[in-house]
Amino acid sequence: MDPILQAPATAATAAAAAPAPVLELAGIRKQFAGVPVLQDVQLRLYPGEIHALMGQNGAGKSTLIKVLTGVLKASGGEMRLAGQPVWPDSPLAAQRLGISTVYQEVNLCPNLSVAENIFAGRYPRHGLAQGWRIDGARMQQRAHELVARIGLDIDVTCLLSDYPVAVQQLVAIARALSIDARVLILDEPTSSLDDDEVRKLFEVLRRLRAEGLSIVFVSHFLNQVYAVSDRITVLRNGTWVGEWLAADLGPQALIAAMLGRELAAQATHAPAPQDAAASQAPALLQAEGLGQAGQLQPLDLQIRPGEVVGLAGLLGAGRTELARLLFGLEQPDRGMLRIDGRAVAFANPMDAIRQGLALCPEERKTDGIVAELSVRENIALALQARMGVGRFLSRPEQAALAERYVQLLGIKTASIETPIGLLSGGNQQKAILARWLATEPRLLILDEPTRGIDVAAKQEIMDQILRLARSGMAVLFISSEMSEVVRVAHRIVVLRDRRKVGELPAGSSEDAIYALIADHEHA
Amino acid sequence: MHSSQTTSMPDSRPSPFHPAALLRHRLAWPVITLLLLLAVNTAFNPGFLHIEWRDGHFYGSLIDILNRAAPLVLVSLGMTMVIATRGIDISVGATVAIAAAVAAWLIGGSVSATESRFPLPVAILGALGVALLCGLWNGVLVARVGMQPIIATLILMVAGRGIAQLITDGQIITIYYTPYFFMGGGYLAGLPFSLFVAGAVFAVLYLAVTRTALGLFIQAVGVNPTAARVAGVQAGRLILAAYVFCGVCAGIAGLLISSNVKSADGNNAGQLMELDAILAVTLGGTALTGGRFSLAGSVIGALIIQTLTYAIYSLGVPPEVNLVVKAVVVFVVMLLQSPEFRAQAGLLVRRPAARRALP
Amino acid sequence: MTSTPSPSSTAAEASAGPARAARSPLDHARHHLREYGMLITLVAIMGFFQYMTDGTLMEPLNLTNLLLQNSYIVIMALGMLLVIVAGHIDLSVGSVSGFIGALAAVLMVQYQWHFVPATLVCLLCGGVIGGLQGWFVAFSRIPSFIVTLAGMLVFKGLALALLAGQSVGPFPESFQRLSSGFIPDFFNMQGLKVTSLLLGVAVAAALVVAGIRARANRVRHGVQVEPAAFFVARNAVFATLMVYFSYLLASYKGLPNVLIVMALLVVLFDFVASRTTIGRRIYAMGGNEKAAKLSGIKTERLSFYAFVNMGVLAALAGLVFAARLNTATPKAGLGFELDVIAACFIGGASASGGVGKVMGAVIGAFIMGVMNNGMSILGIGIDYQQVIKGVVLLAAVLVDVYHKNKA
Repeated sequence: MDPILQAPATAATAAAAAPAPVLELAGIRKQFAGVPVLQDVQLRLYPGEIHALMGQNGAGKSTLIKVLTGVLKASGGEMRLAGQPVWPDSPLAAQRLGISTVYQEVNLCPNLSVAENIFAGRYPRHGLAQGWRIDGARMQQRAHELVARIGLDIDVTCLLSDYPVAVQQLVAIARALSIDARVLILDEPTSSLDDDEVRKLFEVLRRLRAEGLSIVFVSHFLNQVYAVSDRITVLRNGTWVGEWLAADLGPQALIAAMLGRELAAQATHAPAPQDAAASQAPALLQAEGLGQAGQLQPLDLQIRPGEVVGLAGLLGAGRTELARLLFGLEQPDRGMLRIDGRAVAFANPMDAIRQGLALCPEERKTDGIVAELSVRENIALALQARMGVGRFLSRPEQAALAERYVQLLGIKTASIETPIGLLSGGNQQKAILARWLATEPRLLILDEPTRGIDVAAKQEIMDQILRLARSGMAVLFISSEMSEVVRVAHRIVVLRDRRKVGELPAGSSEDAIYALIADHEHA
Repeated sequence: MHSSQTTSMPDSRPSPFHPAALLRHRLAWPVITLLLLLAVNTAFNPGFLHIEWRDGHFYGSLIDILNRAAPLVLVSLGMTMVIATRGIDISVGATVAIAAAVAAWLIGGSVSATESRFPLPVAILGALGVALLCGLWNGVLVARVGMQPIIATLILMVAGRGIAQLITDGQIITIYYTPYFFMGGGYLAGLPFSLFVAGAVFAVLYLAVTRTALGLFIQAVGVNPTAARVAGVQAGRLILAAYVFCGVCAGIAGLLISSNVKSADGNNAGQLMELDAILAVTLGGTALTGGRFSLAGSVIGALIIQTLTYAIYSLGVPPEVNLVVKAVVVFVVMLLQSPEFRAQAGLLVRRPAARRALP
Repeated sequence: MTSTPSPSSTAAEASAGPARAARSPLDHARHHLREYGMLITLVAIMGFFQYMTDGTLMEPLNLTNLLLQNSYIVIMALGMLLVIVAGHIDLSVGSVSGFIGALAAVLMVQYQWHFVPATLVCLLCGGVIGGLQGWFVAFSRIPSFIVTLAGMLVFKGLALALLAGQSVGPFPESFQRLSSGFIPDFFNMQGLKVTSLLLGVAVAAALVVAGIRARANRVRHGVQVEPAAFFVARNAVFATLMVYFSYLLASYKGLPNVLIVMALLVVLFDFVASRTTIGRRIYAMGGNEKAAKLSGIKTERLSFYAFVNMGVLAALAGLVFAARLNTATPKAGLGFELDVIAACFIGGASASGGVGKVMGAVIGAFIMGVMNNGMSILGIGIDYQQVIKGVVLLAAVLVDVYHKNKA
């Protein structure tokens, strides 16, 4: 029994019966250049409750938070704070209204003391309120009181960087409280905390809740959500799916609500047949107890040539972290990796590429495209990197390569000389995929390859991958779209909360995956 | 399946020699600037464009400019590579002085025109070797230790002059060894030899950048180091190589300069050359933020600066104005490249209603 | 960092009362290692050169010269530190100080202005120059090293133009006293400028008293204070050194005027940097600009002010330098920026901004000054001095990089 699953939500159900919500969002709409990102989203927050906001990547959580905190302005809808309509137009305005946020990356100044961070921009001064002499003693005293309120006993004169991230996060909360917040928003606060620190944080949250504070808790860790929230609101694809009492919504139903049950559209091709020969071939890649402290618990994994292994899990389950470990972008500190039975240690991606691996990354803007370079150059990049500086793909060769893949994947571009930054997201994704296909890898790791691509194109890409698998290429396919994973994978590895929870054979249903994630036994 | 429209329609695109297309070419503005400067020079000095054959070689103001520009061209080429990787090297002036000092020392202070302490090739290689070490030093600090380029190269800039002075014992070493003068003052096929040196380095670099993957890799590292790394590019080695190359270029420049003036001055050689080089690179169209670079642009930029200096001289304007003009030019170019400034300037010319509508 | 207490989750303990035990001396030392380290290094270097030069270093005459030679570097370091903490850099300070020196010469010598309005105009000019550069850095977002590089060239040229390539001087005597004057002596004792000595003693006493009061105030508020042993030791050492140096200086010509100016400025800037809202905001901006902006701090304005301040201080330094040489030369200011920047880094500033102390920069400037002076006495060539300067700078930056990578 997970020790974090403790205090039930009963205390707050009483609060749920309390009269007026302290914060009410209704009909919120937001568009970016004509593309709707939020459609008719609502949120109700009562005093003295912890309200979890859940959804997958692209569901609109962060956009909603940005609207709440004044970073973005909604295109429509209304927001009421204690019954009064408000529209914060800047983070400062939101703070003044009493809406305080603690971000995932501690957004404080590491070079200042704890006290100075808490009072940044609002230092207590000697004499006049507008004076310029900081009353250091008073600041330290007040800071000390504030951190004490959340149960922290630290020296507020020390630099923030002297303390571990967990403490820094609590300081961020203390800062949020120092402005007499009525609503506290915590955006993924536990991503860098270990179990012990999470427990302490939750004690603090429960104490604050008892004092009447309303807390919006954004997280993708199911256990934690159930441990501490009273209510759950789920968003999906920018729309509001529903609001439930945590006690009324089981994990499986929650997952279903978050991921939806989209039936596989236009499934004109039959699912990949299991290649009998492939299942007997020796493993191409073997991970034994591979792990990295703080990122991934040790796990075992095997991939054979011609196999499509799906890696399923919710956001934050550790799939990208595993991909990075396999590809040499991060170094494991536990366990071993074998390629063709030989132990290897990848110090950088080039080592992995030389072994025939390829990684099509999730974040194409930061890790994928080299925006100012042309489509041709982007497609040729990885292959050229593997060939080294000396052996050069001449320009006509690059052009031919690029043309081939433009045709193959249907990349829409005015010319192969167009800077890749000008292409639409989906076409950029196709180009990055082309880059890696051009290296003719033995194992292709795809991290969310179909995100932001239209349905027809998705189909093409999946078919292409299946074709390559049949010709002997192994694929590790990471996707949040369970239907896709289920359709093409020979085997499905399921991750949850940074550890592997199980493996399912081909033909498993999405339900089975959800069940595994929800930690239920399922026949 | 949608097919791309890449190879198809040659007729619908405008001819590449159409004025509008020409103007949009990256090198357009640098070339125009250079031509303007040449025109200004000719206006004030009718004999400016005059070239004649004298003493077995071409002779004229243009030849002079080309000869003096060669060291700057070399340093600018090196600086271009460093800037393309999002770095900067403000120690090139010091490296120039060090290289000159090493060469002078290796040749020795003998007053004889035929006597040299070490053979000439040794002197040249020694100087270049030391320059390479300087570049390596910078590269290690930036690529391996992770210092910010301006700080890392500041160290050599501070210490480098001292090192050069140490080698020359604080004196200006006059070189009497005649074979040494050929590099910076000699002529080959009627044209200054230094031109061939600069041309050779340019040619080698150009080939390296266009005929190997170097150009692609450096640009990728400059535009998006993370993506380049994921794609397998060895960013660390490239950055190190860029600084080493910059050092070597500075070394060659040092040889040319000291050969031209027949002496090695640890204090004044290469003084403020880093500024000229940065200016040349910027004028040539390479952005200081790294990424796409233009070798030809840097060459033209160096020529612009040399022609500008010449124009100022021939106009009889005092040398201090040279500095001011250079600074103003660099400044204006930076301003024009800055999006914030363009936005602010744009606001001023747009109509008030539009100004109000903007956030 | 193992010395700091880990957070306990019992609220009762925390709310029980503000009194906190003072940290053990060892913890405290380890914590403030960098600061104390700088001071110890300076003392060590002084001791080393004192020994190597057979006592010449601390001779009153030499000590006075040492102060005078480094005054303008220290003055500029005060401004440069704030610029570096804000995340920028200013390469033009040398040229600007040379230009202002030239301006002062032209005004006072050629146009016969009285030194007071001339000084004011010069300082104002410095502020305007700083503001101009600051504008482009802060609001047009052009990298500071480009703007100030251009500034360096422009003002070098303008200084040349203003002086028409020659040296201009001498300055009126009232102006010369800025750099080469000493505070008046009201007791005419032989061989000892008693006023200076008394002043030194008085200041030392005042600092000790202020320190005691501040500590008492903190204790009253239940705030962390340094261990009593440390406090007493530190103040005792400081006071003794102050009195001793005052005595040394008093044995020659007394306290130089420029020392008074420097001291006042150091106290002012140390206060601004550590105790005023504007100072802490600059640090916040340097540490995490996004977070600072979110807290409502107007980061652009702060950058702008930092450059204006730098301009004024560069102007002052230019005046001090010109007064010391008693002429304004076209070569004035050459290379100053490197010394000033090096002083800040040796004193603990970080290239990425947000870190650095005013006292550190001052100590850094004096470390370099003592090294220059000591090496000159020993007859070590200026070239070696340059190299050693580079090595010290390297060491300082490596320490900074090491700290950053550890975090």
